[in-house]
Formats: sequence, structure tokens, C-alpha cells
Amino acid sequence: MNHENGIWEKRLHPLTLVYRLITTLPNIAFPIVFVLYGGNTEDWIYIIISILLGFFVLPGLFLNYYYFDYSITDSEVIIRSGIFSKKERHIKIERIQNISVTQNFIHKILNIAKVQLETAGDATTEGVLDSVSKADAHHIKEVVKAYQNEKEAEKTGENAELLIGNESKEEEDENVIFSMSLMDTIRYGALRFRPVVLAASAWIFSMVSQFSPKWTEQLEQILESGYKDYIKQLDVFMITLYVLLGVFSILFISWLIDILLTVNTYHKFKLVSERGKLVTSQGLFSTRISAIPLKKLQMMVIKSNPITRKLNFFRLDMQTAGFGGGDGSKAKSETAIPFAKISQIKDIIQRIRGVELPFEFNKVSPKTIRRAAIRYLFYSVPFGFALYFSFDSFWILLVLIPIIAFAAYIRYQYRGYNVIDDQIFVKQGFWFQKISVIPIEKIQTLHKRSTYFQRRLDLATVEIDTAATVYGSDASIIDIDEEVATEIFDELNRLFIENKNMQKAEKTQQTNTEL
Amino acid sequence: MMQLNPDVKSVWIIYYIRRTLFLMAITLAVDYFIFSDLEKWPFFFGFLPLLIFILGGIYTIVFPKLKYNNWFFELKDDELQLKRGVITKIDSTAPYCRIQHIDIAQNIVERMFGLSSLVIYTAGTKGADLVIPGLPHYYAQELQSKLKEYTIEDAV
Repeated sequence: MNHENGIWEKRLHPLTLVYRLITTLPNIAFPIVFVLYGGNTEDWIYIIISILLGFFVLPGLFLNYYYFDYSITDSEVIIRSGIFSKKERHIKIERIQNISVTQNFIHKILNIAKVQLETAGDATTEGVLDSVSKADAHHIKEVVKAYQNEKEAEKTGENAELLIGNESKEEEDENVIFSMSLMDTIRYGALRFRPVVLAASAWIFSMVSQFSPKWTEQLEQILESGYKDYIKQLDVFMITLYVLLGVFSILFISWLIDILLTVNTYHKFKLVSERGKLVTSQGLFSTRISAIPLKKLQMMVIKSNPITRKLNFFRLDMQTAGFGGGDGSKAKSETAIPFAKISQIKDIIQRIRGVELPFEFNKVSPKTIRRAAIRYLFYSVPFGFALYFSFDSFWILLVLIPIIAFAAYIRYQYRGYNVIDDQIFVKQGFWFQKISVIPIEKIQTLHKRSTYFQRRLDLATVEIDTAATVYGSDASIIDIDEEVATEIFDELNRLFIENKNMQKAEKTQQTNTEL
Repeated sequence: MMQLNPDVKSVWIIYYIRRTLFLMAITLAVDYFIFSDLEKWPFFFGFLPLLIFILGGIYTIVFPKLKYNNWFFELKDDELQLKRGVITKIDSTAPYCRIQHIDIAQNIVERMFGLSSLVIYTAGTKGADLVIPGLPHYYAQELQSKLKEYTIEDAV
């Protein structure tokens, strides 16, 4: 065993103790919160609970640290842990797919880092070293890489991994494909308009507005006099002013929050190409580094909203089958490019997959407008009730009709699909547009689905299932003519089988020539 | 295209009877504890379970036959094809090279009729496992070993 180069029975960094103390302290001190909030000093029982907890937890922290060590040999990484029941985990060097080094805020202060070893096989066989010094983290990476290179050199003739750009093994120069300036990040935040943030800030707004004494008086007045009477006593101008003011302040706050959050997550965003994978790093307070293994890349999604689309800015997400692979439970979506011109995104897609984005999409059947309108009609029933009761007029409901019609029409206009060069392109959505790019060779199963209502209109939906369908990101071709659906279904199936048979033939040919 | 074993209709009938009885028990409890206390409740005691009984009865009589008549599968050269569904029709194909592993499942009702289900797992995340119910047990085993030959280790 190669002791000089490897790492042998090494403990974590001593500052890990400080880190764990900081992270567990809130849990221990939790009972004290009751005392503080209750303001009752006789609640000393809670303090005693805290002390007792501390009495048990703190030695545990130390023992856990003391009985934890890791070794890296030329064949495997061994992590030993456990005070009473010992555990020894062996991870084969060549199975380690990725080593991610992350730092959160506390890590950064203490100048330590968390190292995660991700493997290709079972999702549970992952090693976590929380935490080691930054230098050690780097060293671990180096050592594992060196051993892996050795291993790979041993078995020559293995299928070469996909390379982007030209990168030699000796040169560890970073091959940066894409990076974002602070200005870009702020601009991105300003144009995101995430509904989640809007909802959050509406909630914050309602919390804050409680502190304005006048507001509560008015609210009481409203409640006492009954909502209707209050509205009648105001003139139209005041009502609109109130409503507009409220809406605008909520929008403004959410806009600011969104910018701040975006800067926090995407500060110094960088996309680096390494051997067989793309690596992103980002974050202001806590740096997040994550890898996108190109072999496991399933589907690429280009996202935009109407405003960014107008300004020609798009976002590129990549969905991978995950290091766990197989069961799909580790499937994840990683943002490869948060904010870039379409030309840049097209360029990167071209480099990764050699795929040209189509300019035109085939439209789905216009009958989908009818289906969408009926569906939206059902959705708007509660809204219609609210309108009816607040305005006390039946005619106000007519307002809904053009809105529903327009929404249904837009839904149809912005849906499309195309199959070119062994890739499936599916476009959907107006407010949050998604263009999914799925390679035919990544298809797992294909489904053609038609509900009773679809069949009445001679429509069907084609669903394409890959190993990385993250929740809410399915790429289905919804509401196309039954005939077309059958055609696409058969065509995709045929293309996939052909593709696989060709690969198989190539493989056998290779082995034949080798023999 | 192949059809399932006709005995599967009986299996489904038992499932539906079981489900109807279960729903009847729940509605009976709801009726007894909640609705019978309401003054304005317009129906007599036992109305909801009766309704469930009638609807469930119709469903149990009509549906298994429809379901059976609409259930087909076929082992093609390179892929497994399924066609099924009464109200929502679903056609699926699972290429053999995508099959990760195949289970044979048999519950107590199926065992009564000597039937079993073939569960086919792929790495797909949405319609992840395809199930072919109502196959004679020996035939399911035959299919399993046949499909196993095709399944090869293949990267996602």
C-alpha cells in the first residue's frame, strides 16, 4: 500500500468541533427560548433541560470526532466511524465519480470545507467528510484523481470519455465556459419575477403592515362596518388608489427581495468544463459547487419569461440521472447557465451535444384551445364567485370570458414540438416558457395517452420518459391529433431502437477488430 | 397482440367488491357519526352507503369486462408494447435494453386463480414501472426469463 502518497487514518480538522458546536447549539438552547418568550423566570426547568441536553450532547460531539477517521489508498477510500458500534465504509477509488467541496457561511469563517464523495452506483454509498481544512480538501481531490488516473492508465482501450474543448491531463487549467459578472447577476435578479418570492413578500407585507397603527384601525373599521358598506362609503378613486398602492408596494418589495436572493445564490457564477463533466460554482455567503456528469445528462431545458424573452435572455438547466442513477430518486436539475443571450446558450448546447436549436416548431392541434378554455373555466369558478359577491352583479362575470379565451389561445400559441437530428424539442408555456431538448437515445419508456375528452376531439398526448424527469419538468407533447401522435410515437420508438442497434453493432465491431 | 388470462376478470371483480365494501364502511361511519346529527340532512340514514353499493355494483359488473377487452400486450423484436385503458387509453413501449429488472408479484387473490403480475422496472421516473397483470404463473416465469435475456447493462 502506498502510504506516502495516500492518506492514512486521518481525523477531521479540529475546528470541526467548533463547527458542530455552533450548528447543534441552537438545538440544545431551544428550551431556553421558552423562558425568554414566556418572560417567566420561574421556568428554570427549561434551563435545566438545556444543561442536561448539553451534558449528553457535548461529549458525544467530541467522541464522534475522536472516533472518525478516513484513509485513502490506491484502491479505495475508507471511512471509519462510530463510538460503540463501529462502521467502516469502503468506497472503491474508480467508482468515485465526483468530489464536491462545499463551504457554507460558518465553514468560510473557520476556513474549513465539507467534502462529499459521490459514486455512480448505489445512492447510499456516499462518503461525507464534514469538515476538513481547505488545503486537505484540495489534497484529497488531488490524491483521488491521481489514483484514478493510474487506474485508468492500467486499463487502456476503455471507451474514452466525452471531452469538451482541449484539455490535457497535466495542465489543470480551468476551462471556463461561462461566467457571470455582478451586474449580470443583478440584472438577472431584476428580471426573474418568481411567483414564490411574490407570495413570500405579500406575506411579509401583511406582517409589516400590522405595525402601522392607522392600518389596524382602518381594518377594524372595515370589519365592524362590514366589507360591503365600507367599499360603498369610499369613492372609486380612493379604492383604486388603495389597491394600486398595496399591489405596487408588494411588487416592489418582492422585486428587491428577488434581486438580493439571486445575488446570494448566483454570485460569481462560473461554469467550468472538466473531463467528462461540467462543474458550476456559485454563491455569496456559501459557495456551492456541483457537477453535471455529461454521461448522465438526460435533458436540457431552456427557460425564459416574457420580459427576458423580449431582451433575448434565457436560462439553461440540465437534468441528470444523478450519481445514484437507476432508480431516478437522485435525478436532479442543475442550472448550467442562469442568464445569457440565446446565442451563447445555443453555442454551449452545440458544444455539449452538437445540437442545433430549431427555429420553427410544429404546432399542436388548435382544438387544444377549446380544451384549455373549458379547463380554465372550471379553475375560475371560485374566482367568479368572489367577483359575483363583491360586485353584486352578474354582468361582471363577462370580464372573465376574454381573459380565459386569451389565456387558452396563448397556451396554444406557445406550445410546439419538433424532432430533428435524434433530438426531441418540446416547447411550452408563455409566462414561464420551457424548451426541453431530449436526445432520443435517452428515452426510457414512451407513452401515448388519451383521456375520454381527448378522444372525443381525436386528440392524444405523447409522453417521453427519461431517467431524469424531475418533478414538474416533464416534457409531454400535449393535445396533438391522434394520427400525428401515433406517427410520432412509432417514429420515436423506431428511431430509438435503430439508434441502440447501431450502437450495439458498433460495439461488436470494435470487439471483433480488437480480437 | 396478446390478451390477459380471462380469469383476471374474476380477480378484478374481487378487488372491486373489496373496494366497494371498504367505501361502504367508511360512508356508513360518516353517515352515523356526522350526517345523522345534522338537522338539515335531507336523506335517510344509510343513503350514502346505499349509493356506494349501487354505483360500486354497476362498476363491478361492467368494468372488469371492459378492462379485459381493452388490455393488450405484445413482445416485439426490440420492445415490449402495452395497450390498455378504458376511460384513459394508454399505449406504452419499453425497449428491452431499458428494462432494469423484472419482478413477479402474486397476491392472495391472484394466487386463488393461479395468476400473477409481471412488474417491469426501467430507470424512467414517470411511468417508472409497467405492470402486466393476470398472467398464468408459469407463463409469467417464462416471460421473465425470456426478457432477462434481452436486458443488458446499459448506461442511463
